Amino acid sequence: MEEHIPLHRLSWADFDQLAHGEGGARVVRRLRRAERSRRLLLLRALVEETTKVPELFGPLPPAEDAWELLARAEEKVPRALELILAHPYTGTWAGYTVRLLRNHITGVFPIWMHVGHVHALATAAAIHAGLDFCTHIPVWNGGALLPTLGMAQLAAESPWSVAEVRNEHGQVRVSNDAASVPVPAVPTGNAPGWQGIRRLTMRAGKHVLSVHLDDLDPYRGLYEPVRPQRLDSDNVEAWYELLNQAWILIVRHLPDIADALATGLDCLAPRPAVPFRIPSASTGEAFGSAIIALPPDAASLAATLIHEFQHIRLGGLLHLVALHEDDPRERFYTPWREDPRPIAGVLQGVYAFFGVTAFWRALASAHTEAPDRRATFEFAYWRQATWRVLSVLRDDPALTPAGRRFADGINERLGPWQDESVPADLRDLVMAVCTDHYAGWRISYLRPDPAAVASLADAWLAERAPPITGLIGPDRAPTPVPDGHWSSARTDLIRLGIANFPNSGEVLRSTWQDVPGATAADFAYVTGRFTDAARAYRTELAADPDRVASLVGLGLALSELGVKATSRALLHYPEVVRAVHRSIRSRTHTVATPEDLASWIGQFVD
Amino acid sequence: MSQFSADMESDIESELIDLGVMSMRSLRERDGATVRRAMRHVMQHTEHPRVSRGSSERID
Repeated sequence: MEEHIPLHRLSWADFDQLAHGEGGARVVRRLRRAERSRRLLLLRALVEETTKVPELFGPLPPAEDAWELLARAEEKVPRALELILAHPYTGTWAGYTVRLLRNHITGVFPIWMHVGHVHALATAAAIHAGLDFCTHIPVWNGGALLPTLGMAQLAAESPWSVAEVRNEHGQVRVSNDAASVPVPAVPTGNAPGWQGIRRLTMRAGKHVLSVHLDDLDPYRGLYEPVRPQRLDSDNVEAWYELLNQAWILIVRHLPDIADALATGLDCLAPRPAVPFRIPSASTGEAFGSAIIALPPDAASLAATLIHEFQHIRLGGLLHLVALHEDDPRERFYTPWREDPRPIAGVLQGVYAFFGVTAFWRALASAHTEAPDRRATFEFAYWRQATWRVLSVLRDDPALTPAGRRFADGINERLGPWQDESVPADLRDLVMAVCTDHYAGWRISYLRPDPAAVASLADAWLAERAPPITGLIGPDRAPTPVPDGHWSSARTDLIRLGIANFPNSGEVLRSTWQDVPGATAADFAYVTGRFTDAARAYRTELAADPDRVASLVGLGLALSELGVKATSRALLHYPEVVRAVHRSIRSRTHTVATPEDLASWIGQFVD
Repeated sequence: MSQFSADMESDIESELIDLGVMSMRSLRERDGATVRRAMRHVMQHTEHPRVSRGSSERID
C-alpha cells in the first residue's frame, strides 16, 4: 500500500487575507512551501524523462549524476538545496524545459544545453554546501553560469560547449581546454574571469529587503533564455540608491506588505530604462522574481515592486487553487493595456493594480499638510481604473467560486476607496485620462456592425436624419488586431505636468516634444488651451481623418469647450464615427469632416 | 466574509503534494501513484505559464 503524502492546503482565512492584499510574511511562506514542492516535482519529472533518453544530455553527464549531487548537498547542508529550490529561475528553467520535452521542440539552445542546466543547479548547490566534487556544466558563448552565484567567462569556439567544475580543498575552479577560472570565496563581486550575481540589501529600521540583482541567469526572462546584460558599477549603484529609497517608502507606508514582500521577493532582473515607461514583467513560474527597468524615482519603483509582488503572490495562489476557467478569449477592456485581455490577464491586472492603488493611497494620505498631488492623482486614477475592470470581472461566468470570492475580497477593500475625497481638478484629470484611453481602445479594437455603418452612411449621403432604431447596437466582441496606431502621449503629458506642479506649464513647454507621439495639439490640450487644441486636431485630421489620437483628442477638446453632441459621438462611439466617415469617403468626393459627422451622429446617441 | 466564518470552513486542498519533509533520495525512490499523479499535475500546469509583461504600457 502506498504511503500517504499530504497535500498542500490553504485556509480560507489565509485565502481571504490574500484577496484583501494582506496576510503578511506568514501567508507568503505558505505559498513558498508549495512552490518548493512544485519545483521538486518538476525536477523529478525532468530527471525521470531524460534518464530514459541518455543522448539528450549530449556531452554532459547523465541526469542521475545531478540528482546525486543535489542529494549530497542536501545531506551535508540542507540550506544549500533550499537556496537552489527557492531560486526563481529554477522554476522558469524547469517549466521551459518540461515544455520543450513534452512538445518535442528544441528551444533556443540544443536540447542538451537546456536539460543539462540541471548540472549547473546541482553544482551551485554543491558549492553552497562546500562539497568536494567534480562535474560538468553547459556553457553559452563562453559563459559558464552557476545559478545564484555568478558566471565564469571562458574562451570557447562554439556557442555551446561544456566546462568542468571542480572543488578541491575549498577552491572551486571552472575550466575548459582554454582557461581555468577560480570562483571567489565571496562570489557576489567581480574577479578575473568571474562575474558575480550581486546581492543588494536594503534596511529601513528593523525591516530588511535582500535581493539578487541578477543580470546573468539565462532563465531570468519570460519566454526564452536571454543573454547576460551585465550592469556596470554605476548602474548597480543607481539601483541600490533607488531601491533603498523605495524600500523606505514601502516600509513607512505599507509595513504589512513590506514584510510580505521581503519574504517573497528574491531576485530583480534589470532591464534597460525606457523614457516615460516603466517596463516590468513577471511569470508565474519564477515565484520570487520581478523583471524591472529602473524607474526615474523611488515612488515609481516602490509602486512597481508592489505591482510585481502582487503578481508573485497571485501566481503562487494559482498553483494551489483555480480562480478562473481556462478561457483564452481576449474579450476584456483594461485601462492598463492597449489590447483586449483574457480573463487570466485581467485577474492578474486587477490584483496587481489593487496593490498599486493601495500604495499611492497610503502615500497620498501621509501628506496631509502639503498634499502630494502626484500620489493623489495616481491613487485616484488607479482606484477608478481597477474598480472599473473589477466590476466587470466579478460578474464573469468564467470565474470559479473561489475566483468570485477572491474578486469579492478585493472589492471589499477597493470599494470604499472610491468615495475618498480627491481635489476636483485632479478628479477631472483622472476622468479625462480614463475617457481618453477607453475611446482610444474602442476605436482601435471595436468594429461596428457593418449594416449600421452602411445605414448611417446612406442617411448622411441622402441628407436624412440618421435611422434612430438600432442606430448603434450593443458592442461586438473586440478584435485582437488594432485598427490604427495609438498614442498615450496626452496621459504622459498630464503626468508630466502633475509631477512638476506648480511649474507644470514651464516644464511642459520645454519638454513636451520629448514625449513619444506628442503633438502640438496634445500640448495645447494639456495646458488648457482647448480652442487651440481643437484647431490643431482638425489640422491633423485634415491630413489623416483616421488618426486615432486626433479623433479622440478632438472629442476631448470639444468636451471641454461644451460642444456636447460632437464630443459625445467622438468619445463614446469613435469607432462608429470613423467607420461611417470611411464609408462616405469611399462613395463620394464631397467629403465631410469627421467633426461634421460626429456632430450629426452625436445628436442621436447617449 | 467574516473571519469567524472563514475560520469554520475546511481548508482549500490543492492537487500539489507536500514534499516539505521528504529528502531528495527518498523522492527519487518514490514511484507510487500519488507521486506520478502529482508530477502529471505540475507538468500540465507548465503548458500555459502565466506571464505579465508590457513594454509600451504598464502591464497586467
